[in-house]
Amino acid sequence: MKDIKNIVLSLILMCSVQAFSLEKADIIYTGGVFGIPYDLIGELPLGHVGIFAGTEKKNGKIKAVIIDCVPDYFRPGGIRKVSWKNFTHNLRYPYYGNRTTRKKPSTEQRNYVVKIASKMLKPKAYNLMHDSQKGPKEFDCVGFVEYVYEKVGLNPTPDDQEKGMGWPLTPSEQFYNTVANSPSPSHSYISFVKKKDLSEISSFKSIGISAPNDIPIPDSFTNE
Amino acid sequence: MRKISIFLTAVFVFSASLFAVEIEEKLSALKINPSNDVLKQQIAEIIKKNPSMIEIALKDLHNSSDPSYICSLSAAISISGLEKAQKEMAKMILESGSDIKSCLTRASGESKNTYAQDALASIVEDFLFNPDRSGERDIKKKIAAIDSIWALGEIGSASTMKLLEKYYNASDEIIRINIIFSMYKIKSDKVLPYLNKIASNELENEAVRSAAYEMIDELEGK
Repeated sequence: MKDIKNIVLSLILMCSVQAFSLEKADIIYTGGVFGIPYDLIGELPLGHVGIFAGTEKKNGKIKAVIIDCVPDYFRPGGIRKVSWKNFTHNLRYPYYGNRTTRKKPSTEQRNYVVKIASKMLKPKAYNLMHDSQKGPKEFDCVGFVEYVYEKVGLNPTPDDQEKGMGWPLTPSEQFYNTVANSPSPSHSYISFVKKKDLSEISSFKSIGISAPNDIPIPDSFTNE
Repeated sequence: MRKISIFLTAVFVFSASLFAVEIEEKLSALKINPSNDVLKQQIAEIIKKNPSMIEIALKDLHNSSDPSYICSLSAAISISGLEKAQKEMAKMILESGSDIKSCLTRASGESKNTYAQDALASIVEDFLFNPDRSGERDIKKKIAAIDSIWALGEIGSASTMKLLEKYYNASDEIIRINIIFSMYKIKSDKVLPYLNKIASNELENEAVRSAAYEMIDELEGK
């Protein structure tokens, strides 16, 4: 009975991890000065948004690459290529997760999003008044993401939320208009173990199989 | 002797009433301009100087229905650092709705409110160990859990490390990245070996490993 429970819980864990796997060109969120949950600007404590451009390997270490747009009083400022610490404003805010457009981007579109964003790197690109959210010369964080996505034919947020009575577009509004990413099979949690024999997973011991070392498995499983 | 005692009591009552007038003025101003950080700091200073003023601030907090004001005032009360204030904030975290919970959680982290640890842990566990959880449907619960993990890191007690290890094993990638950030802030001897284990785990997601590598570099001063 315990074994069956463990198998079910393992599958639930795999599915839950799979549902939020971070892919190149995903829209990622953190907090910021707009993050105070004023009833005026939405309920979620989101204040900053950027584009996850993938990972780089340097000296055997993996580094996240994030492209975002910030005022120049940040170091670095403007449209910049940074990693987790800078993106979360020196860890002053949490990482709230990744989203993508309701119409899922193709691999080609994802590559273009990153390519376009990477070509736009420059200081003094942030519009403090938010009256030019989507450029073409000055942006704010959320407008920058909209601009790049629209260049590849995707629209994270309906245009009426960006102008007229809908202005200004906020990270919370964009978050609500996008969806949690459902990754392609090559990015799923199970892909981490695909080269391993499933017979190594401990939860499957009852059917003659056990887990590879160091796969995150809840304590509740291992304690039983 | 009796006269001196009466005189001192009168001075105390007079100064308390002056503080009361002052805090009432600041509270009224904060209602109009809840994002004013100077006012928050001034309210915290008044409470620090005269701890009995906490009662006026707490009464106002409980009577208000304006989320912006509640968030600002709870931050001001937390900044005061008084034990009573910290305990009251910890209690409020569990009792409040999601819109207020977020800023109370943040305030507890910023003020390093150790009394809030249990409340923060229960928010995380309410999300993580709920068999019916769904990231999209329970997005506010998930954000509250993420905020709580952030606050636990800010508080930074050594005992938090064990909790975070437990949460790591039951979390999705987003929460695992946040746990790594919080572990970095704890700065206990156990952190670096744990982060090294995550970073070198080829079965772990690359985004998560990148967070671990970055925090290791920060800890090693690279």
